[in-house]
Amino acid sequence: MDKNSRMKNVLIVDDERYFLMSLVEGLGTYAADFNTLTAENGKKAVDVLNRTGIDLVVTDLKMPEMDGFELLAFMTKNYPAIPVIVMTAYCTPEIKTRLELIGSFKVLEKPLDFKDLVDCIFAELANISKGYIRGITLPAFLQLVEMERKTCTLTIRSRGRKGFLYFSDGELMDADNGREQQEKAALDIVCWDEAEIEISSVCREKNRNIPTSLSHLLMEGFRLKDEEKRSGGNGGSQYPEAALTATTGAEDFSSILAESGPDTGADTDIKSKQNQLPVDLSIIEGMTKEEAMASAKEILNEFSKLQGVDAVCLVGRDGFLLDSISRTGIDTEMIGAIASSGFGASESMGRQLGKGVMSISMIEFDKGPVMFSPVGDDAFLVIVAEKDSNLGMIRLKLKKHSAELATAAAI
Amino acid sequence: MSEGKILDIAHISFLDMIKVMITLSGAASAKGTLIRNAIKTAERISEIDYPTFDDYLAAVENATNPITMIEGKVTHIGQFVFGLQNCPFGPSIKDYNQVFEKLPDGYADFTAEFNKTSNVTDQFRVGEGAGVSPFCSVHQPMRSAFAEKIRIGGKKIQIFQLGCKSGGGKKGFADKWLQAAGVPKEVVDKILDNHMCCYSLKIEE
Repeated sequence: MDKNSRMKNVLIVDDERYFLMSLVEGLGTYAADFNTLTAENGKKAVDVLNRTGIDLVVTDLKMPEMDGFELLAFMTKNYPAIPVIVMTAYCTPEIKTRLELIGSFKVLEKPLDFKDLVDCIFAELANISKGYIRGITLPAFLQLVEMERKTCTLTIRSRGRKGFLYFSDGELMDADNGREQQEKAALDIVCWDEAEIEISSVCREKNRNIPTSLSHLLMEGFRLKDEEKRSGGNGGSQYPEAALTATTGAEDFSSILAESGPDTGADTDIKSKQNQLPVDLSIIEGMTKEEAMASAKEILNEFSKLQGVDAVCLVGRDGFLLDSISRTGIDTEMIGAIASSGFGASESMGRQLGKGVMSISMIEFDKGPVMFSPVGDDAFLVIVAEKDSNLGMIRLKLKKHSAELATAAAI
Repeated sequence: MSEGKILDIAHISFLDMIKVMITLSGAASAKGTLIRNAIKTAERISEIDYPTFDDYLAAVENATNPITMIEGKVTHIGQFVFGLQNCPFGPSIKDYNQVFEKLPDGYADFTAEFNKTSNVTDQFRVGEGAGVSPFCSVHQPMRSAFAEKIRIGGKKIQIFQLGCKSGGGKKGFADKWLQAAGVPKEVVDKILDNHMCCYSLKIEE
């Protein structure tokens, strides 16, 4: 039996031997559904967890040597994807508070109703739906998790490293790479190559400790990956500290020496303008315009194959077309020109309303939507779609490819 | 009793219209709209073929040359380099300033946007530092687009925008086009001492 199809293991942890024996006997009825293992305290439970693939832990809180709280703390740190059912005879507000501080657990009060326990075990096992993901990159998978608003813990393994990403309702709540937590750890993990992804539909983290959007983290991760490649890195180094402060590559555009309108004596005050690009310009240095545009063309081609997409246009912010793929009969030059006003107006509105950076603007028509999405500071993408188009997939692709398109547009 | 002045409402509204475009859809989009408008205008003129370069220059003198018709008489300095003494937008700006004293806000961002490298400015060989006001984004591409309708001895011509001067005397140079046209910057600098705009003309082989 492989990892995915083996019998589930449930570990019961309690220092009351007779209670434990009676539980084992009772749960034996379900031997065809799961194995029942036991441990008399937290310390022994840790041994079992380290030796055996456990899918669910049912634990008491008051135990000698290592009590339930210590066990929960250990599991939160080392096995956050394993769900836990807590049994306690004293569910006081203080205990509830302590449990909440550690994480999110199902709590059953003692004396136990055996049927409740069985129902709870089956419910948790059904929820686990643990799986291993292969054949998809980590960034693409994370976007799917966000898009599908999944609640889960992802265990990421890559080249001997192990990290956890916690999602609740599609939002990245926290991350842990064994050395760091929160955003620092997330930025490290999303850069890992050849990642093996284990997904468990449990998220013990209740607080959102990473305020940054996933798309921003991925963009930054993408940039770092390229940076690492160019510097000959091995893909396994710690996330560079500098990258945390310099979240975007910046290029100082030369100030433009021009101070007035011509022929009138009235000067126009032209300041030097610093234009920030979300692409690392050193990538551009090693790339010809043809290479960049060929790469952009491939991406546009990928969009054009999506269900219901009629046209996809990479347009300069000035409305002039950089490249496009469309069905016959669609005037993409015209789309670029018109979309430039629409896109610019959407951005202006966001700016006026203090809504921050625009990610996607969508206009719904009877026959389908038109979407605009910025790609870097120099261009935007226009997607003309039919009513039956897969908007989720379009959004996913936009997030996935915006950095590459931005690089091409900047060239 | 002081005497008033009758202004051209088209001048006032055009300058304000640019400001509105910048506010509503951003400098890049406004720049694109003005350039597209200039190109569309050029599309409406008829093609013309001058037998020789001298015939071309004669048409400038007669103000029958399409480019002359939109920007005024230009001086051929020599070696296919031209100097334009007056900016065609001068009267508009003068009118506006008589009422409002200064040009609208946002013009600086617009000019910086025009000078940024882009496909369209590359196509028409304009900007790249030679823009000194938003009006350059109308004037320079329009001249280049008009030039595409002109032939000399059956051959196409190209315009390279080399430099421009603001009303305040500050000069802007397009290093990229100076290099492409093979004209020394010092030459253009000198021409701009007495002219507002400088470009070179190339007859394609």
